[in-house]
Amino acid sequence: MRHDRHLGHQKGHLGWRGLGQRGVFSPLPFHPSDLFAAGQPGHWPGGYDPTQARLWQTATGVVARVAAAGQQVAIVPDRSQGGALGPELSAAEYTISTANQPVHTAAVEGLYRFDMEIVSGDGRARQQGTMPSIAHTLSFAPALLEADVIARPGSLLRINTNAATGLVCRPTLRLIAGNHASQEVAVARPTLSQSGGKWCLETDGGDSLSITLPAGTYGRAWVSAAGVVTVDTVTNPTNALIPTAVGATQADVILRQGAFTSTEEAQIRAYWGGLYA
Amino acid sequence: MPDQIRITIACPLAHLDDAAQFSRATGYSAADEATFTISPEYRDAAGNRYRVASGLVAAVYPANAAAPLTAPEWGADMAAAARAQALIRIGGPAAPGQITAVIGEDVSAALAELGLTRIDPV
Repeated sequence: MRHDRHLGHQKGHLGWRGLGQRGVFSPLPFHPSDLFAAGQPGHWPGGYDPTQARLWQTATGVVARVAAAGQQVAIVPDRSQGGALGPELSAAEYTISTANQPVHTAAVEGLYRFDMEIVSGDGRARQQGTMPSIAHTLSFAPALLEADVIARPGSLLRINTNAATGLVCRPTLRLIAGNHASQEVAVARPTLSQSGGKWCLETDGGDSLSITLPAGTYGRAWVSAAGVVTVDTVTNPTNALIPTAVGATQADVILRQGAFTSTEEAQIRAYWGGLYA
Repeated sequence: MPDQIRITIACPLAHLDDAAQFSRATGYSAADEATFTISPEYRDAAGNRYRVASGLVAAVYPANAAAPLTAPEWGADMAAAARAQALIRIGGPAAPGQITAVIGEDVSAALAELGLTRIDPV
């Protein structure tokens, strides 16, 4: 499991260094996923590079992948649990016409991966989430479309179509493991930015990213795009965007239940020092 | 013309309830009712207090917000929203009897134009 996480987040890292001078395996270098190896709850986005992190916005009610600096960020997936996908929640295939086709009513709050293939028939179809959620509507897809959407208990995830006759769609819908951060209020969303070549979130002083975590004391660490690392503890955290000054940046953050040990703090500082200093 | 613009809005504390309904009526979801609720508090030189929200909106938002309001699909108190709409002024400084909006990318410049300082500085 430990090796899987490393392989998933660090290209080219095989989980060991090979035989050392004495013919034994060297210890693994630190990786933030190690902080969650015992299943501790927390949140770690793994930075905000839009080619690596699946960041989402819901500008004007339409879900879209965040792809460039200057775009608002509404959903930040948590990678502390490896982003494992839950069981399939959709029926295999639907034949639909003009009516909205219910796919699943969310029983639990979470981030759902919704993708769909149009198998046959005339017309267009798109995924749609109803309140309470920040899912809203995806753009019509010509063939295949995928999105991660936040839904809360009672939110209906459905297919919205303009098909006049039978249109055959094959959606898949699965819950993504983790404690994901989101912001429903449009003007309270941070902006994706790039500073000195480093991807980060930039706040206008009033932004935040809501997060729901089990109660307790958490170790909290965050790093700015300039490489300034801050480590402290927080009780019952509800926000995954830490800086609050106008124009301040956050290049990564770690929230982990239980204060960091001095060794862990040193490992975090060294890890981010190699990425952002 | 960009797809989105930044708008910074100062709402006096006395008008927060009506502003919440205006945000709900002109926003992108019912959640936008909380626009000022979760915003930080500022004050002007005279000590009047405001909540200030700043964020990216669709470029057409200012025009839509000034036009006659229509109820959103998620519902809103449109009488309260209209009261707030009547108080909106474009350009600073902020004043207790109006909801003041500044359009521009630079948030610090917008706050300076509004003449506001954060009550709980960071």
